[in-house]
Amino acid sequence: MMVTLTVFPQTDSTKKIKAPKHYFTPTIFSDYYVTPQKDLDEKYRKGTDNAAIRNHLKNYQYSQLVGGFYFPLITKDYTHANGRTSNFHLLGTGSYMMAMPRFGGTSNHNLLKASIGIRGIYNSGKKGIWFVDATPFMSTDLSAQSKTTYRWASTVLYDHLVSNYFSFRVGFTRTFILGNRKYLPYLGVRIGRLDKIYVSIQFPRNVTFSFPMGKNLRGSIYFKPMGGVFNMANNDSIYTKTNDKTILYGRYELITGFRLDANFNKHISIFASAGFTGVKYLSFYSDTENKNNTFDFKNFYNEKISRGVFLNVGFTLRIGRAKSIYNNYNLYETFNVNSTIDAGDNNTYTGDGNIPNATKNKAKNNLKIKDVQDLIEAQDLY
Amino acid sequence: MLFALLKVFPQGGTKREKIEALRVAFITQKLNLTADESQKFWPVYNEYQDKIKASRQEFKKQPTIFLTDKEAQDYLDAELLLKQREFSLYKEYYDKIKKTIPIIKVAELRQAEEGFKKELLKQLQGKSND
Repeated sequence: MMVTLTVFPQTDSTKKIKAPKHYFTPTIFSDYYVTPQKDLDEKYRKGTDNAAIRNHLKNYQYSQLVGGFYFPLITKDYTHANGRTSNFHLLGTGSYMMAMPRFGGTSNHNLLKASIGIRGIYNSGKKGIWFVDATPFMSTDLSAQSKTTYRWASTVLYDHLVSNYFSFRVGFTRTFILGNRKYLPYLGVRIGRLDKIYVSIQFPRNVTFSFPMGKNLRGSIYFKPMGGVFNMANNDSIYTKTNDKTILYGRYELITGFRLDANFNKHISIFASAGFTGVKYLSFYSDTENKNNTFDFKNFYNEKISRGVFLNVGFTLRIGRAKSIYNNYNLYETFNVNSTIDAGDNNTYTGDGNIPNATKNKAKNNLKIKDVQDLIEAQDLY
Repeated sequence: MLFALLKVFPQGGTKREKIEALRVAFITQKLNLTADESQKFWPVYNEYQDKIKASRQEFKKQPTIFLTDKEAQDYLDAELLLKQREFSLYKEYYDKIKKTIPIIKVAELRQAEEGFKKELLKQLQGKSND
């Protein structure tokens, strides 16, 4: 061994190898969601008498365009004495959402919500994953003069990986996805492997049954809320009891749908999804009357909308190279935590295209020498 | 539309990605790791493979047509550096991997890696005989 070490001196040459630094790659995603127009029908009325406002609004249609990104800022690997590898990931996040509610009796409103956030994830390499996300965001109405308000959403959770087939999550979330400002427990459970078939219940985010459909496709049947709270100019005098120039528009739908994710390679994924909006609410809140309110906003109008359908399409781009994660189920789980809690608190889902589907050991029949030449050395031929 | 796009894009990543996934499946099958071993072994082995891949990719940047003695010398120096790095990595990760799985499985890992190469060679041989 000494001779070998003399011939191949232990230099620091291996430290200069430019292997990927991060497990997460810079990721850009975008999606479009649309529901059809519905009349505001009295039979779906809920709460206080909404007749005057309902007659003013006439009908309702909603669509939204979301764009977002996250990128790794810091990745640290820690190798422990017993061979275990743990890691810490600090990610920067950002999102842009244009909510486009359309009412038959008012002018069009394009409501902007934009966020810049940060999240830290620690994977112990054993059983536990800790996740902390802070998403400050701004909200304003781009279509008319309105106030810009800064709010924040946040999630803190602990994920316990009991086995590759089972994990649970407990935590706390401050979120607007139910159309109001909510402080809720985060409770999650997953049964089944992330690279195979699994059922995942993540309150208040989603309930998903996900299954591979070949090497590159993944199908899922899911149930989740889609919602938010947005600043909206009161230029159509929706609320007249106060001098509010800006009111808050809140909405959420509980949607049930089928989603098909196509992962062309490690870098490009697209999805298409369609289904039904089971429960659908529209609310308005007074800005001034909720000024000193730290919990739920109190509405002056709340309407239950009749059931309908939705369409949702989008893409995810992952840029650059990342460290390999084959069979590293702790990192699969880490990726899934990150994708379940989207950047921007819009409850969009980028998919888990960076988790390789389980591959069967089948010999390839279309090999070319150039594909494998660096795996084979001259002496292998003898 | 989704299915039409699938035909346009290369399916399931590059061929190299597929081969890597196959190698992982091959090793997984041969080593028969316990959950605890798997949790410790794969992060270290993936890191080792990433570094090997990166050093080979760096070497591939060398020109393969030599117009001057210097170019030939540079190529040979780069090749020597590659082998030196690979040996250093092999030794470094041999020590690290030993901490994650029993020594018998470390030996089986080497055999599995060689076995996978042989599988690839068989495939290539079959193709050239066709």
